Amino acid sequence: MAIVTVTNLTKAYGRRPPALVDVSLEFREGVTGLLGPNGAGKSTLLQCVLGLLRDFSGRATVLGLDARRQRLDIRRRVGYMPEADALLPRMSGVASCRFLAQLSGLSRREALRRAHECLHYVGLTEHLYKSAEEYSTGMRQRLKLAQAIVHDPDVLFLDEPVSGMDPQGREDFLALVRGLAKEHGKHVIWSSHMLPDVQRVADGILVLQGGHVRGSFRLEDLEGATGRFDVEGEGHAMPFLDALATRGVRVEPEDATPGALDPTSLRFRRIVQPPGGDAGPVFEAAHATATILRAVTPVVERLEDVFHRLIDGGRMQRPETLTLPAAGPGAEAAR
Amino acid sequence: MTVHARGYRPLKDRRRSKGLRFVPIFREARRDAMRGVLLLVFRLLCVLLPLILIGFFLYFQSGPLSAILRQTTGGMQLDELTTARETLSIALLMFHDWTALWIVLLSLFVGAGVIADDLRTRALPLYLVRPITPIDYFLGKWLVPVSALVVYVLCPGLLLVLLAASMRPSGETWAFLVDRRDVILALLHHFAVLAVGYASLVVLVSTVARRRLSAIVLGALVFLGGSLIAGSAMGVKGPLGDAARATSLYANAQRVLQDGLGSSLPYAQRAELPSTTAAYVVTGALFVACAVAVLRRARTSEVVS
Repeated sequence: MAIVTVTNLTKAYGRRPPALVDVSLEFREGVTGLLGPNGAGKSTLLQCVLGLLRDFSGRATVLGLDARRQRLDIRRRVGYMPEADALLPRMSGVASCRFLAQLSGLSRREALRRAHECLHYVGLTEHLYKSAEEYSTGMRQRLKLAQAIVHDPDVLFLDEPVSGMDPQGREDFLALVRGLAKEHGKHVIWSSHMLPDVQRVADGILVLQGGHVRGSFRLEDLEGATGRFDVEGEGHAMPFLDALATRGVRVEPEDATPGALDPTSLRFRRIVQPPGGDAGPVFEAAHATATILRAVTPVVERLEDVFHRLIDGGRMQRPETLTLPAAGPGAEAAR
Repeated sequence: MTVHARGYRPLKDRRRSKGLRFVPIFREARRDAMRGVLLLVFRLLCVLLPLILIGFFLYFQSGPLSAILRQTTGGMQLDELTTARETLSIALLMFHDWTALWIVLLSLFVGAGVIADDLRTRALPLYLVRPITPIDYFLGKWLVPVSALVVYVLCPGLLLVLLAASMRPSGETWAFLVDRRDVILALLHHFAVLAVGYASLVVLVSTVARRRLSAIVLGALVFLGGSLIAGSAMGVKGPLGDAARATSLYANAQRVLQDGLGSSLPYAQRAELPSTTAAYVVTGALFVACAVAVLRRARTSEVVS
């Protein structure tokens, strides 16, 4: 089910080049990482979807509700953690959470109770009554999360949520978000340019760059077999590669394989892709050419590799001509 | 049974509260604007002191009140009821005259931060992602200086009316209040013009200035500038002079009060005040400008992102 759907969305700030150009995409259930370099349009996309920015063309829906016409209904069901430090002046942590819960429609008593619970949940128990303006960066990030979940939303939009946090705080924060998603069924859109963080919590990834969608995929597709193998062998490479070709095995160019040839010996290393992802033809070719196979390792793609491939590809290609790494959430829409 | 424990608890009761959505905004903004011992002392000294003094003069029919009354009547002997009525009118005009400067400062201190602080701490997106409309935000903020003026402008006036009524012989208190209901209406009318004008101006400068201190300085300059323009337009005839005199928000409120009191006292310098129409137009225009500025600001996060 699509949680957020965006169709042909274009947004420009004044006369500057558009921050988003004809973007179409879907965020599906679970945790989705919205990745992109600085200035990619991630925050703009979130703000358009939430109705914080209004003058955009195209259409956006959240949980099936129109971002323009049903703005208030959407805001009852979403929580937003802005990237910038956003503090209610001269309010303690618990007072600010209670106040925002009241604005979301909770009664005063329930709002106060929720504020305490949420601040406990994010680990600010010792700082409930301290002025939020005295909080450290990490505490402010936690407070923003508490404010975002205080009215128990269905969808959470987190914009650079762990920026400025120390490693332990970052670990704790990732665990909190994972808990919200896995144990409490929240859908999370996590906007960031920190790939390792996103990789640890997200189910799906969507890559933005320069206001264009560069691709989308599910992380489990990266973790599964890619159908490609890293083959290390010993012997004469050429007969072996010819034998692979006759068996329909695609061999990637030498420059795509790190350390492809060892000039001091007969060792070689190539990335190959047998038909159907079955390594059998590789062994047959080795047997036929008396090549010693030292290692045949399935190639697993890293998020960084895919991200950089998409970003680099985006610099050279129009987005509609990109080959996405795998079918995933919003892949079709992204195309 | 545990009623509170650490951990995330799904919200079972998703019923919306029935209250008006701007009320929490107003309540929090007012609490924030009114905090501070210094401001409390300032408020009490600036308003309570004149109120006590004028109440004393009114009660004992003495001091400047009786002097002005003698000057008004040219020493002619008035009956007791007329004296009481005229003394009350003079007391009200005198109270608002004495507290004019303090009320301007109070409005600035209370209202200058209501939106400027939100802009400074980038709190606006926190409001905008909640199910409230820009109108809720505007009302919640705009009512903060208005509520302060209720306490320090409207209530003292009504207290003086009650004091005058309580001084009547036994059994005539209610009759006096009914007889002088025009005074109560005049006070309400005066308060409305003054509160709308002052609150709109301070909230407008708070929206524009984006810093509390800048808003106080800018607001003070606008108040002062208006008074200077109005002062320089004394004696200028025609709509231009009228409009220039209406740039003083205090003069606008005085115009309405004097109209309501129906007094021809020399204390009320009618010739120096703008026309009632000009007073309404300027006050209304200020309110519209304030509302447009705040609604534009609270419509989108674009200006602060």
